[in-house]
Amino acid sequence: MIVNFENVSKKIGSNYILENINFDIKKGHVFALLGPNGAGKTTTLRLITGLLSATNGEVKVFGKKISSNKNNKIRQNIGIQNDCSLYEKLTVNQNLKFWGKLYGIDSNKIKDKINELTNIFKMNNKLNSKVSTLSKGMKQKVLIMRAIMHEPRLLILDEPTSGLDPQMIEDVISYLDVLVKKFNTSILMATHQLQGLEDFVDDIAIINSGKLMLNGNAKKLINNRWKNYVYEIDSDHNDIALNICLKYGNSYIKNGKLLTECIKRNEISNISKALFDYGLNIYGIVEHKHTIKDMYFETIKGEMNEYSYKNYI
Amino acid sequence: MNIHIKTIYKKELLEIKQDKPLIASLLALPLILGVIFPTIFLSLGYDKSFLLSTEKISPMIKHFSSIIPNDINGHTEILYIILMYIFLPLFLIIPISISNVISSSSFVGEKENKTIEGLLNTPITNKELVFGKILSSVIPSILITWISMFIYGILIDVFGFNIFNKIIFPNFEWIFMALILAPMITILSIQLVICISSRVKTSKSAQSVAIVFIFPIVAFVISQASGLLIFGIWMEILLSFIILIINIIIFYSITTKIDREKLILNL
Repeated sequence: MIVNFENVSKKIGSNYILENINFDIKKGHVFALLGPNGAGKTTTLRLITGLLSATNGEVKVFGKKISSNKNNKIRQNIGIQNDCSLYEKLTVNQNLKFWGKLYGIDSNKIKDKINELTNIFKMNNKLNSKVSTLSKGMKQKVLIMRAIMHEPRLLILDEPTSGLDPQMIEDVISYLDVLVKKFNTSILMATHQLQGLEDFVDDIAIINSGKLMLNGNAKKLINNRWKNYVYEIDSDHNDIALNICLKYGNSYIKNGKLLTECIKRNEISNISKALFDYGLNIYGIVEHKHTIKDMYFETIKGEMNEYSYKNYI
Repeated sequence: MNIHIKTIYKKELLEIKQDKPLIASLLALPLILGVIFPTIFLSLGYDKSFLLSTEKISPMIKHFSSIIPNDINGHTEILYIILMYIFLPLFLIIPISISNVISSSSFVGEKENKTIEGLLNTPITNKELVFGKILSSVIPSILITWISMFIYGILIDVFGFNIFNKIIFPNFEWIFMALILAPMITILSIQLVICISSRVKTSKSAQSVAIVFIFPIVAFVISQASGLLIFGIWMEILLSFIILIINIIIFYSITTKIDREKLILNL
C-alpha cells in the first residue's frame, strides 16, 4: 500500500476540516480525489506530504507513519504539483535545475531529464524564458515537469489539467499513463475535470464537507450503482415513447432525454419493436454508459452516502 | 557543504542577481559610508582652519587619548578619531541592513510569493533550509561590507597620508570587526528576521521589525562620540562572544521549533 488513511480527522482552529477519513492508494494505481471546493482535498494532500499532522487517526505513506516535521526520506519519493508558485525571477531551466538538485539528482541526469520533459511538454523554446513571462498554462506545464522530474513513487497532482489546452491535456494524460504502466508510479489526483476520467482512473474517493462520501474502485462503484442497462431513446414523440417504455421498466426524462432501464440487455429489442409498432419515428437508441461524473453528482446531491453505498456492494 | 544548503544558497544568489533594483538599493549605503563620507572628511582634513577649529572639541579627544597612536599630532587627532573610531560601528549598519533586506525577501518572500509550500514539500530539513537562507544572506552582506571597507581604507590611506603622515587603516579594531563582529551581528540580524517570518505576511513588515537592530548600533555611535563607551577591541571581543552564544541558542531554537504546519496555515 502506498498511502493508507485510517480514521483520519483534522481539526484546524475549532473546525473539523476532515472527519474520520479512510482510504488506501495501491501501488501503480491512479486514485482520483473528488469533491467540491472547500471539501478538504488540499488538507488531505497536505496530510500525505506531512505538512499537516492528523488530529486523530493515522496516515501512512510507503508503510511509514507520517508526522509533521520528520518526513524527508518519505518526501524524497513524492512528487507534488499543486497551486504553489514557481520562482518567477528565474528561468524555466533554473527552476527545474533547482528542483532536481533539491531531490539529489546529479547534474547530468538533470540535464537529460529537462531535455526529455521539455520535449514531451513542448517547452524547448521556453527553457531560457523567465517564469514571469509565461502564460498560466505554460506555468502549469512547468509545475508538472517539476513534480515528475525526480521520478517519484507517488505523484500528487492538484488540478493538473487546469489552464492546459485540450491537446496538452491529452499529452499530459498519455505521459502519466506511461508513468503508471512503465514505472508503476502511483498517482493521486485531485480534480474537478470529471469528463473522461474513467479511462484513466482506477479508484476514486469523493469527499464533501470533510466527510468521505464514497470510496473504491471506480468501475465497481459504477456497476454496483447502476446495475441495469440504461438506453437513451431519441424519437419524434418522447412523451408517448416514455409511456410505452414505462410498461417495460423504469423510464424517465432527464435533461430532455428519454432514458429507459433494462434488467437484461435484449429487453431493448422488445421496447424498440413496441415503439416501431406504435408508429413512432426512432432516430436513435444509444446505450447510456454511466461515468464517474454521474457518480459524483449522485453522491454530492446526497442521494448516496458512505453507508448506503455499502448496501450496493 | 551539504548539497541542499548549497542548492538553496545558489538559488537565492541567482534570484538576487536577477533583481537589479534590489542590487541598486543594497549598494546605496556602502557607497555613502565607504566612498562619500570619507571623501568629505578627508577633504576637510586638507582645510587647516577646519583642523584647528576641531581642537576645541578637546573633551572628546580626552576619552580616546589612551588608544590614539602617539604619532598622530594634535590638530589631526579629531579627524583620526572620526575616521577610525566613530565610523567603525557605523560600518556595522551595512551588513545588518543588507542582510535584513535579503533575508526578509528570501524567507518571508517565499511566503509572499507562495513558493514556501513547494519548498517544504521537498526532502530538505529545517536545519538545511535555515542554514541555506542564512548563508545566502550573510555572504553577500559581508562581501559588500568588506569591499566598502576596502575602498574606505584605500581612500583613507591614499588621501589621508598627507594629513596623518602615515598609513592608518586598518587597525586591529577594524580587522576584528570585519572578520568576527560583523558576521556575528549579521547572523543575529538574519535569525531575528527568520524568527519573525512565521508571524508576518510580507517582507516589508519583516524588514520594519528587524530594522530595530540598527538602533543599538546608532546608540553605540552616539555613546562613542560622547565618550560614554569606547568601541575598542575589548568591547568588540566581549560583544562578539555574547552574540556568538545568542546565535547558537537562536539557531538551535529556530531549527528545532520551525513548525511547517504553522507556516503553511499562516499563509
